[in-house]
Amino acid sequence: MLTAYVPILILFAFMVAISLIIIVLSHYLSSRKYSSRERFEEPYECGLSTGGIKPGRYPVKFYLVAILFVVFDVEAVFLWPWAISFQSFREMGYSVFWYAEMIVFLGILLVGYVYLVGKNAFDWK
Amino acid sequence: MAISFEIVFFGVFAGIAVILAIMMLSVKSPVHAALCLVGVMIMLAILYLMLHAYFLSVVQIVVYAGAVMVLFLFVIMFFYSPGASDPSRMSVHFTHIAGAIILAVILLAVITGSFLLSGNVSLTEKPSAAQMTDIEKPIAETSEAPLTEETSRMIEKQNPQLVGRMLFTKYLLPFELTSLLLLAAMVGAVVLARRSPPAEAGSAGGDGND
Amino acid sequence: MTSMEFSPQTIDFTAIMPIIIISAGILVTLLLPFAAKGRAKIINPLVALIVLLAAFISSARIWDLGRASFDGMYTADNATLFASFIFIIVAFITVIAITARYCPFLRSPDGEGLFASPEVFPLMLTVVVGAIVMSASRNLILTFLAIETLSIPLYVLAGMNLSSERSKEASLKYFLTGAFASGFLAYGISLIYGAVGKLGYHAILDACSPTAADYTLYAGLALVAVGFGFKVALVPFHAWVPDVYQGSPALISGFMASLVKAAGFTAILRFFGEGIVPLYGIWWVAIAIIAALTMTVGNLMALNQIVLKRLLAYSSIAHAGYLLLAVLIIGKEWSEKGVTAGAPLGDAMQCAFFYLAGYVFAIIGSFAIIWWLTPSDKEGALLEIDDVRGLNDRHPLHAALFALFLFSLAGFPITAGFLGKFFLFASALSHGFILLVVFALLNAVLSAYYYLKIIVAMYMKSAPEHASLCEEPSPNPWIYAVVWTCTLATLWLGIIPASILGLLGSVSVGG
Repeated sequence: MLTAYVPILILFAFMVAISLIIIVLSHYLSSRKYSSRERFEEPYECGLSTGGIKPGRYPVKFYLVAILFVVFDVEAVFLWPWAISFQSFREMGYSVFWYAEMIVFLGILLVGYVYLVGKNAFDWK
Repeated sequence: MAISFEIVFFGVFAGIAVILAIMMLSVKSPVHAALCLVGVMIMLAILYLMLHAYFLSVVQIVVYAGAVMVLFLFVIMFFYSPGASDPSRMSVHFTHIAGAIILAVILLAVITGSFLLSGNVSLTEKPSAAQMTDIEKPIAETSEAPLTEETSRMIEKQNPQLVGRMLFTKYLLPFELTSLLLLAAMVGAVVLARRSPPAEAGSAGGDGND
Repeated sequence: MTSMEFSPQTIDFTAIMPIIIISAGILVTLLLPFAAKGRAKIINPLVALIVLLAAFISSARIWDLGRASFDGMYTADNATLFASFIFIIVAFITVIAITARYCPFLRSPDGEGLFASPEVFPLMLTVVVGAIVMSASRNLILTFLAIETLSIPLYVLAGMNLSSERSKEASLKYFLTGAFASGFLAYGISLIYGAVGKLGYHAILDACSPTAADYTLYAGLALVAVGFGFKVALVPFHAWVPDVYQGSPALISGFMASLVKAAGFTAILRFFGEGIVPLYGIWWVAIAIIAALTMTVGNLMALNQIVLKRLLAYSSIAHAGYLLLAVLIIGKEWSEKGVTAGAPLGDAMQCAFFYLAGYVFAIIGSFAIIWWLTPSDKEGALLEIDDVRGLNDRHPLHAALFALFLFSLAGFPITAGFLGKFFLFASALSHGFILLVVFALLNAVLSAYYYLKIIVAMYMKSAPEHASLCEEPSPNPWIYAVVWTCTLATLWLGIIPASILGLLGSVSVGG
């Protein structure tokens, strides 16, 4: 049944174990200038002391990029079932139809992409 | 044997999900809370996997744990300046906990109560033909008996293919409608994210290149 | 047709031709501003109008044919087509009214922002596609997606007036309640799917049995009903309406109040009539109580409003309450007789559609007049009853047309509103909803008070010293065309109803 996922599970366990070991080791082996509590809330920059975080809010541009990412991500998700359903469509003899379906879908979204480019939505002014 | 095996795994992953959900509510920094939410979503994806809903599981990771969480993080960073801890998160009032528990109980009652009362669910039996969903139907139709061991194995193996086949035949119209929906979302995001109304120059055009 | 027997030849493209045409129009109007630059201001609305006209014609061509496509998921029966006509005409009127902005001799009264964005047209066309699919859908997944396709552009349109804080607030509030409603719908749909294993209305109809209690199904239905309730603003779920209609640009408020309500009710009638009618004995009490509440709360809240747009918003809630009567009638009728494909629609659908047709023109006309009268330096969101005092002395034509629309909304004779109420209440009476009809009549009397309050202010009071209305409402041919269309339609439906009733008499459930 789910036996195919056992290797993935083992990999997962290894990932967790290795990261735990590294964290615990670095805790005991490293010399520390600061108490860990003090630095806990700060971002981690490969052991260097950070330049601090720029105060204030992030600009709204991030939000626009993020929402466009969600939109294109949802679009991309559909490509997977589409691609793997090709076999059964070919058996039925509708390969062209199968292709056309996705072309229509992507075509509509391509218009959206052209619109975004035209509106300079991807420009980081 | 197989069932007990599954139940153990379900217990582990569901337990981690619940712990992460509680951590999400209790940690101080909103960013850490968001990371806990990522964990919850990944655990849910594993649960979907165990239900053989492979497509849903992948969507859960790609869209929710991926894209939606990025959006969440940006929104958090947008509303909250890093470094400062949010005072509203410090004080968890008793009423909040009581409200959460009441909501959880209602939700549980609706799901389990309604299913158990109507006898729709059974932990051991395979679904009968009448209870089969649209996805399972085409496979069952090809075989004599509804949902034998073999056909149910087919469902497990071919789930994403079946989703694809349903999506691009029977549910083609909703699928194509989705593209219009996404298009509208794109246009809406761009229109609303503009800071101020574009300078109207009267007769001079150039609306397109804002 | 399962996926096994699927073939592309079974897709009936004539059935979905209207939405294909409009979808193409969306793409063209979205990209045209880049190519046409300055001329887009005229070309873009023109393309939108041509597209709507083409969609209207392609809908008219399949009238009476009872086409269906995608395994009956999408039905282009006459009910869908009649609803489509309403949506297309509403969109047509709104596009023309918005285009008035582009005419050189009209200063934009209701905020520059809305009309400076060429995105208005593709977004409006998307709303129309969503509405048509909503009325044609016989599958919960498709219904859900159609509702989203209708809603998302509307959230944006509500916030189009970027210079107005109220418009932004309206957009946000509409979005949050809309997202909440979608959550209810999605959860309800998943419970229904869990109980029945099907999403098509006919499959749900077969699976519903009035005897064997299925609580999963009931919980799902209740949640779906809540979702619909948010969309058409039934009473416990109506709180967003006044703020959203007040804050949005007036023409968009009119668009929402007419098109969304019409689309929502068509979808509700289809779901309750074709999907869960066997459970009529279970849901009718809930719907009856919500109907009574919706009428009463809408009217009571409207009594003391002084801002015109807010008043119309509450009145639109009350109208949703009257329309719920049609849901009850259809449930009673079909649960007794049983649904047969190809059967005539019966009174309920006819009444509902006639009522909707009458209501749509009156409410758009009212919002268009408000938009017309708002001076350019003032927000339409703030126009009060006191501002229209003595309107008759200054602009008699505007006063007369506004009064006509208000009479129609109140249900006075010779207007469409009167006959709409008359047919609906008479039908409800003949189906035995005596108590509810008495309630509705009392409410109609109550509503006359606030409609008449505006009319009295326009005709019997003297103008305020500081005139806060548009001094010279511009003599713009476009806006005249819009208001006169609404006027003629209101009178035509009110005086010669037979023409539309004849059309509706042939409306039948798809075959």
